[in-house]
Amino acid sequence: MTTISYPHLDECIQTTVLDNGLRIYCVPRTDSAKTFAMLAADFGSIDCSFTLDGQKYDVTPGIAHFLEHKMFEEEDGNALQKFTALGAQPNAFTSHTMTAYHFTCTSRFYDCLEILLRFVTTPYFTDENVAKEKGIIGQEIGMLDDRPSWQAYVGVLEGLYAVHPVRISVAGSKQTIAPIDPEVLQVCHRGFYSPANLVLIVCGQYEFDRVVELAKRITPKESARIAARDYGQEPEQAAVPYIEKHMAVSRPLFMLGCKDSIPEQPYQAQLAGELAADCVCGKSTVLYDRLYQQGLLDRTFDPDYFTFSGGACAIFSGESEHPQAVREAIEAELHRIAEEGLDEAVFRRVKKAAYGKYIRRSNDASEVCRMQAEACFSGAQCFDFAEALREMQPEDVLQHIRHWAQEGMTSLAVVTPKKEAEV
Amino acid sequence: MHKTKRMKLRNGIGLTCVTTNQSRTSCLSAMLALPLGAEGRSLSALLPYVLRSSCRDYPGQQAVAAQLDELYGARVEPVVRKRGEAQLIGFVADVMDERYAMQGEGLFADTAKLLASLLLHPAGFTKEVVDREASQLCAKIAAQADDKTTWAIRRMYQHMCDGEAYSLSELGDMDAVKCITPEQLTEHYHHVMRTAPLELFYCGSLEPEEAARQLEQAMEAYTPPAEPVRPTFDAPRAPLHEGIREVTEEEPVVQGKLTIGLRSGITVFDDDYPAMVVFNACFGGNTASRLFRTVREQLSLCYYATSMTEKTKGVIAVASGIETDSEPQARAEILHQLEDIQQGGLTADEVEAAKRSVMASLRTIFDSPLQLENFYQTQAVAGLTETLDELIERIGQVSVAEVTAAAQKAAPDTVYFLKGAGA
Repeated sequence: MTTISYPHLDECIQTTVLDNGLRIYCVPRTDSAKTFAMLAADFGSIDCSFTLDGQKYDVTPGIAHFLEHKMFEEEDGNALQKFTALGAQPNAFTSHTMTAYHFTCTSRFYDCLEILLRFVTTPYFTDENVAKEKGIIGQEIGMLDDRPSWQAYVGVLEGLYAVHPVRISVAGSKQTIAPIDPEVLQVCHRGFYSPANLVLIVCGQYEFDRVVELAKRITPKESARIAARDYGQEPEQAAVPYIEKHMAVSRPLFMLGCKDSIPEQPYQAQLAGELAADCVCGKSTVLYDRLYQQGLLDRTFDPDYFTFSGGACAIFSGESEHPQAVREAIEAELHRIAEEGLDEAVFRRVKKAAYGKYIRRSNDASEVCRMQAEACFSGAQCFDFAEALREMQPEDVLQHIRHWAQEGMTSLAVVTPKKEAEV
Repeated sequence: MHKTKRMKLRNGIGLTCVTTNQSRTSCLSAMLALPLGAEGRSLSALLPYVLRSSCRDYPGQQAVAAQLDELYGARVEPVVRKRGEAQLIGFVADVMDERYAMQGEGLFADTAKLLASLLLHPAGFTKEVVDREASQLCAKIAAQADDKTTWAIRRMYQHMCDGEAYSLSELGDMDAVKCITPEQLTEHYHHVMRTAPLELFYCGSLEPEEAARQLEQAMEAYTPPAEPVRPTFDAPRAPLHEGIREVTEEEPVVQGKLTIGLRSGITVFDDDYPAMVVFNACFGGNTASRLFRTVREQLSLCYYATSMTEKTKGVIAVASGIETDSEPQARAEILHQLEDIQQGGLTADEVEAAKRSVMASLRTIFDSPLQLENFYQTQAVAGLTETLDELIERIGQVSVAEVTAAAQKAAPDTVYFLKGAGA
């Protein structure tokens, strides 16, 4: 066991790697009422083109999410109900970059951990249970299709990316999930759920040795070769400048994306990108205040940054009657900062706020696990933020803003209200 | 661990203190309680938003945002809530614990000062600010219809509780909000401060006496109402309509939302409240519940089928997102499961698992200062002193017979179907 200590944060991470390649990270919380555990696969919706055992596969991007649903099914019942019977709360999520299974419990932690380790590493797919899931996921997709913020999000990624599979909705569509069968699920499980492609993260009350012993006993002895992935050749500039969708909304919802270069150090790039977005139009900037006073933006406005294998982008989202005017104002600000440089006071303030935001996130055991999964898939640890922020210089942030300010880097997605005739 | 203490500050303000060492943030909220059915509901709803932009000490939204950045990204958010027939307005703040600060003391005291300043020291409301915040509030009211999942539940309760104050929106009515003048709002502010009881909540590492001392200092300028007007609650014990009321509305969306309102009349004031909570868990509260297992897993009709209670109103909403064609089948299955439970169909195992699940999810509230805030502010407005620990203990004592008895009181009242007419 190796212990990584963060004395200023009053945190530490206990870690080891099993012979089969499974990485284990445990964060103690001796006072916590709950213990949270997550088993995450480095496999998201963007991993849909890959080579496994010499064979090339092109699967639908919705497959990672479909697989997530199907893993809960076991030969002797459904893992969800096994957790609930123990009083634990299980769940899972699939993002563009990962699939994670997790539970929260306040007692019987090891029984729950055993269920988690077993069901994620034991596929059980039948024609019947795969067909049944299409009905459930079809309804989940229907729910997402009706969600304006989701549509704007899918829209902005479509606008920014011409080739990279991040442009496709995580869950796919009813049409693209229709051909999914047990064979293709099996291939993905073999390629991406091998222990060396998984991480086990625990936060709460536990005995490290018992966690390791259980993981050794239940996970497969050997790892399959992890599938090699291909994200295609993505052009540098945004695919299209503008995308509009019509939905049953009360006023326009927008997301303005700024395409960034492929990050070399994704963890540092994520922090620098977040700071950059905040320096451009965070709530304490002059620009946000002006747009707020003019009624062009409201409190729903949010600057954010997103890194993934093969790309990164900033996304400014909000509601406005005049998304085009907001876009012009933000683009003008990008140019101004690119030329004049950052206001030191804004940079210092935004950095301080970011530090507090990450401390707040580490309050919650589930957030700690999610942060650690994201960090370790990016070659870092979740508490590295303090050091990384301390070392961050205005120039690190400025280079992102300069990139966004280049010609053709932005794309605006707007969800506008349906007109009467369309209803 | 944690300890909970109810206190009265010198100037009559109620304070609930949860002292814990495990939290990396402190949380503070200040809530004014008003009767939901009273005159001036729309004025009250606008008040916290205008106060946030009208502070004597931090004039304008940017001044507040910059101060929050300086406090390591602390948040002070205007809040408007509905709890039964009470409208709560005020601010919720959270800030990083001082021990993580790189330099500077008094993070909590400064956050408390900022919150108190926003609440107690407006510089005067200008027409510009009132108009801007009013138009934002109108946009927010209109946007309630954008998320169909929550909108369908809100619509169902509007129909089910028509004629009761509960059917009114805590955010006010758009027509009334639009016409608000600075003079009216100023007068209303003084009226609220003269009549509404003020309640504080604190969660963090400070001992109760120290938290109280700092809060007394921050709230020094506050004068309590001479004769506070407390909201009263109204929970009819049985449906107010004859027969089940059916309402169908159409919207241009993909997925239909089936929402069934039940009236149990069992509220947090009643002895059988814990039994009702356990019944809800068995019926549709988690992934082991009847609705999840049948409507989703067996019949594959939906992605979600859940039930949720309103603790001060004695009502339950069953919500599910389905294909329009599946409505009869989903409705029949939901009502069938209810009848089965009412006829004593729950097994001892089901009830035990539900109790464990409810107790576990209540215990996890201790790990979240913001969830604790919500719990204790609701207790306070209801005039209840029961702690979370005491409620958990009562849940543990519920018997199968009590759950069945509680289920028998849950009478279907309104079936609301938001029909998806296609996007």
